[in-house]
Amino acid sequence: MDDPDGPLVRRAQKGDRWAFEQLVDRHQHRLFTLATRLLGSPDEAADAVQEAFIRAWLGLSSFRHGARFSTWLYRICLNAVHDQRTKRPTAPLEEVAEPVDPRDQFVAHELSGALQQALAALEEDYRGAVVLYDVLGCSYAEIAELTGVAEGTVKSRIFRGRKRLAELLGTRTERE
Amino acid sequence: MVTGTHPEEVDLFDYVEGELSADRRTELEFHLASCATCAKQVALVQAGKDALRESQLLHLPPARREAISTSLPTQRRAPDRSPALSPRRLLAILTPVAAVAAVVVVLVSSGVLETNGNDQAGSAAAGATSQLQMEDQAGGAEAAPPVMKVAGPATTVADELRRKGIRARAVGNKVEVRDATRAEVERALENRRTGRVEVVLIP
Repeated sequence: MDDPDGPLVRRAQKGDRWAFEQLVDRHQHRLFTLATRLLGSPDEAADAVQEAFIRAWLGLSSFRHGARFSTWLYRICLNAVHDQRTKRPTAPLEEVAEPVDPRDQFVAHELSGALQQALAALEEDYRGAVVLYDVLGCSYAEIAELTGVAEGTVKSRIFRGRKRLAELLGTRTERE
Repeated sequence: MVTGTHPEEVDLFDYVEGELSADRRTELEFHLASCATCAKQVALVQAGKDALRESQLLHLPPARREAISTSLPTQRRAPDRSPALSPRRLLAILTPVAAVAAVVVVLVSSGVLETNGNDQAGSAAAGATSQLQMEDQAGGAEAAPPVMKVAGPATTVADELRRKGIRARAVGNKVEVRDATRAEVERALENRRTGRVEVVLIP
């Protein structure tokens, strides 16, 4: 398999930290999008992404070429998201306001929208499938590998996830 | 496939994705023209797809990107295929290992040490005695009582400690601190409100 990350990954596996930083730059926003869409909180998502990259750096020697590096990274990120979710306190966190960055405002705007609310209301399996497929552009095979189900199940989850999402968004069809 | 009964869900999905053959597509369109139930499903799935694809990539804030760089451990597992060792280097490594092994054998055989039967030598981390194992065990530092509990987020607390010259990294809702005393940490964070981020010292 021709993985565009292959050359950088090989260098990083030999301990080249610069090469790994390039991989972080290349994938940071996609991982952040994945984590944020799944967790609904940019702070928690950023923590999960940080943890995912640390785990990836530490476990880089276990990555086998033949798989796509991005798929391997998504798997680690999904685990970090899962761990982040299990650590959630029952009461809301006391948070200190961080400096406002226009990009943070954009994220906040995106998360306050109807789409995120609808995503948050989806079953977890459906949410993961539609985010990976429609937002991040993963293939059926990649999602099947990431989620441990057959490709037919992946399609079914995307189908039902989209349908439910449209219902939650109040979409009206022509025949109604 | 679809004439008398409703098509399979996967067929409707493939139709929306444009992945059906021309014949199957024609057949399904014929069904959709007369089946309000399926037509509604297809319209909803298409609307959900459109909504998702209009959403944009979210950008990790620069400060959080920076936090990744500062929190990456300086050492990590050695690659599986390490370069060939020269005989002299191999001898230099094996000599102390052999000496330790000999001592262990003597102690075990004399009953000074008891073995529990767990073979940990096969674990992936066993070969890499280094900082890395400390980092791995850092996750197990959950048992360590927190020095302080302050308002977060954890990455901000870790950033503040690092700005004050203290080695720290955020791990979930905790901040792990190395090479610093309790007093130093308390002094560095004295202006923070009490909160839920646990600050722990890693020996």
